[in-house]
Amino acid sequence: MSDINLSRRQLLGTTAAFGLAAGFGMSAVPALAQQKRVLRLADGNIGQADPHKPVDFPGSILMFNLYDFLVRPLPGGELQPSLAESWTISDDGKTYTFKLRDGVKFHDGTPLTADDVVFSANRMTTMKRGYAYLFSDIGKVEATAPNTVVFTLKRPFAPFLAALVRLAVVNKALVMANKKDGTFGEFGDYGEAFLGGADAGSGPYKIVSHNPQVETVMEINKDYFGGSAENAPEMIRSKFGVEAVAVRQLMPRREIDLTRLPLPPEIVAALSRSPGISVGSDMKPGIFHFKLNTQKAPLDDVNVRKAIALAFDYDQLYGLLEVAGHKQGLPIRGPIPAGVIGYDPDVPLIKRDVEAAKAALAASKYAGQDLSLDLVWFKSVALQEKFALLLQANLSELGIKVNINSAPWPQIVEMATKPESSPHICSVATSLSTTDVDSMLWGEYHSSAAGTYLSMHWLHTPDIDAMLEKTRTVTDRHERENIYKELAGVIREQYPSVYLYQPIDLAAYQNYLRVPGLVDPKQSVPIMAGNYRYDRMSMTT
Amino acid sequence: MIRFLSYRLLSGLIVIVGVSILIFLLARVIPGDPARLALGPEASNEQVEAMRQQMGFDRPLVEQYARFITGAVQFDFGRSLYTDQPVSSDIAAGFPATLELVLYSGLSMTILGVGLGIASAHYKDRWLDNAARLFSLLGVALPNFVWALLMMIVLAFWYQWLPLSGRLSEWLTPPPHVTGLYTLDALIAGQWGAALDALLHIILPAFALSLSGMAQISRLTRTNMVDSYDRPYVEFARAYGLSEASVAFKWALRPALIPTLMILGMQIVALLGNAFLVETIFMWPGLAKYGVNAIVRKDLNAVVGVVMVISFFFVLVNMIVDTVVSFIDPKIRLKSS
Repeated sequence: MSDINLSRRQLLGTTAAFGLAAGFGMSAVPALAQQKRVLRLADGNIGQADPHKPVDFPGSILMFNLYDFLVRPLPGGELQPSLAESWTISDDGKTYTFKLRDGVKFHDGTPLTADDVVFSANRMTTMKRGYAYLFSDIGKVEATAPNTVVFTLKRPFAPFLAALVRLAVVNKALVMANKKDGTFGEFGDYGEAFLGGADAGSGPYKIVSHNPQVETVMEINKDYFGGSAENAPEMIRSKFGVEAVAVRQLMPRREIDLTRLPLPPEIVAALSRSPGISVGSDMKPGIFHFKLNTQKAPLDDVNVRKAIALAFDYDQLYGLLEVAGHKQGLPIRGPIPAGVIGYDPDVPLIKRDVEAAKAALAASKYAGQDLSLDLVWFKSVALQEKFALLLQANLSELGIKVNINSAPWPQIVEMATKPESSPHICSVATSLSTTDVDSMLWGEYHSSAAGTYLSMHWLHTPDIDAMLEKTRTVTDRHERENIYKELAGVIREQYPSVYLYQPIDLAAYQNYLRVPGLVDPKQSVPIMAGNYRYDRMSMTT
Repeated sequence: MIRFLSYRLLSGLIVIVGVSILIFLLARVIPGDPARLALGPEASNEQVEAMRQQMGFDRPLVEQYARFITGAVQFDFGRSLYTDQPVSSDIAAGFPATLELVLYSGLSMTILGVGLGIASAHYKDRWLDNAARLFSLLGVALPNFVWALLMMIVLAFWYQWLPLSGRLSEWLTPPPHVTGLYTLDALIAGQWGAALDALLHIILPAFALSLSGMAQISRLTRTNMVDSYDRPYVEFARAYGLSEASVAFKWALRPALIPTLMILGMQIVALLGNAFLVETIFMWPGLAKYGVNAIVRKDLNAVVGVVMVISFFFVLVNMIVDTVVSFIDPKIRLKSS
């Protein structure tokens, strides 16, 4: 019996010790917040530090903050000179000559020269990773003077200037000093191992530590030539692999300042109600579709596709996109999203019209037949199931049966490789890689790029190919815009997609943080991660 | 004894080779081109092909396996398509975190599970036994992530007694790497504050992870011990005038412990796999989360690497358990010999 009494005492003692210890742990939390302007980002994914490899959001955030580029996108999408002070384009559209800004230094103090730009372009095209496909038309790149770089293209490529927002300039000397054995001849591994965990950039922030699975810690580069907003964060802690449920707990305790991950509606609503927290809108330059497989019966008949597009209840969809007073998407007018070249605000929004849908179906070669369609949605995004159920209900009014299935992402990628393996309908999001609409439309509609989830509609015609090719040769902006408007019309008439909406990612932030691109649509930079440039943000401690 | 251990080693080796072939083939039949998945839809076919060659995916399967197994014995599983780091580095970075979680969880599962089982058997059908039964039922019925969320909300969010997430408070620098276990490394370095902080961080995830196993261990210990109490030798020990503690620990517990130990080994290894959701909820940068992310993204090298490490751990723990059991029950050792 005495043993039992002792263990009770021990238990109480231990509990008290933990209680005291916990109190000790808690008391240090506010102390940290008062030290420095530290911004803690919760990212749902992981981040790759090598700027020539990732094509995803966290990689883009690191790229835009650690490195600099010849040109950078401004709010609205216009290009701003950055490392390049000025440039000229030859009449044939094949030679781009850039004069570099004087006095730019890398984080280690080395001056940035034209050699570094040449090295960076060659590294990207040789390694063939990340956004290398944007630079496949480069024939030659050379430094004709310490501050002059000349790109000679194999053929005219009008989106080239916009593509340069993805060419991060790395410090050649530093990378070569840290190269390891590899498969790239004299360049060894091209600094692959080194740049996976360090930075060799000249951007507004520099790496303190990087663990792709845990977090990247960055500090402000006080010598950055572009300056930064007043009270810009001095230190960034990008935490990777964070789940929404953790955000729900951590944000009210001020342990997370900004989010970059999909937040379920209930968490958005809860955070909106929390004092000191706001929810902002990160406009995505893209579209959410139901891609319709135009090579699979009965969707090989344009009238059936038109009937589907007209039967869909867009108003109900917009209702589903509303969360605690915040919109997760905007109505869309066709294959080109708002804010980029070729978008035509005069095109009317498509509306649900059941009678017109029935008429279109009656005009098809499948009129009077029992139609059954397979619809696949991406398993990880619960909202997509609601869209699928809505379409199923809408099409039942036309007598069309829809079989709904979900699939993991690798399976969807596999399905997309052939028309026969692609389902009748698949929910897919597409978006621009650069500020030029070519970076989205080419992958979706040019026949040479078929076989990916972007082109699960399998609509590939010589007309569309020719128009897309022409937009790459025309450098006059006005002329390009007209071609894109015409192209959008041609595509719309074929109904390869039910164009659902232009997505908006909802991001939560603490009120002591100012994130211009999430608050004011006019300040939004229409490129993935464009609104996550920390040097444009400001915070009070 | 040497024959017994040799037999266990050989069977462990066969299991590992079998697992390596199975996981290697399974990883390759999952739909989706890993190079296309890694590079994204806009990547040109030339880019995809270059990456396939670079990763060796264009080679015959037998050659791929030979290259893989040659690397694997040197702890080289190639590069991860997801993190773009060597898989061995990723594993080395994540494994200590998961190991620390599993160790504390296993400790909590063993001590509390067996303790509760003994108490429950000793006070059979009294309030303590009934309370333990209810606790066990809840432990088994509710998945560990629900426990994790409940405890997180109550102990970390409402009362703020314990930290919400991570392994260490962000204002502390991780202790110098010796074992990779923060609590231990901090003690070795004499950083008492960091050791306490790391301990506070691990309490919630380790306890949440251990609950389901703890409940099972407790029930199993209770059942076996109740059974032992009914045996004639226990009655004899009591008649002999031995103390209740001696009867409980020396006569009733020892035979009751063998099935518990066998299950314990399995449970500890299962913690490695079950740790995924707990690691996710508590932002614990461990191997289980890395492994699941690798599967979702079809990161072949990472999937194979993680499975191999977990299999090795599985074989190792089972060998330890078998050896311990053979000491407790000589009949098992004799049978194997």
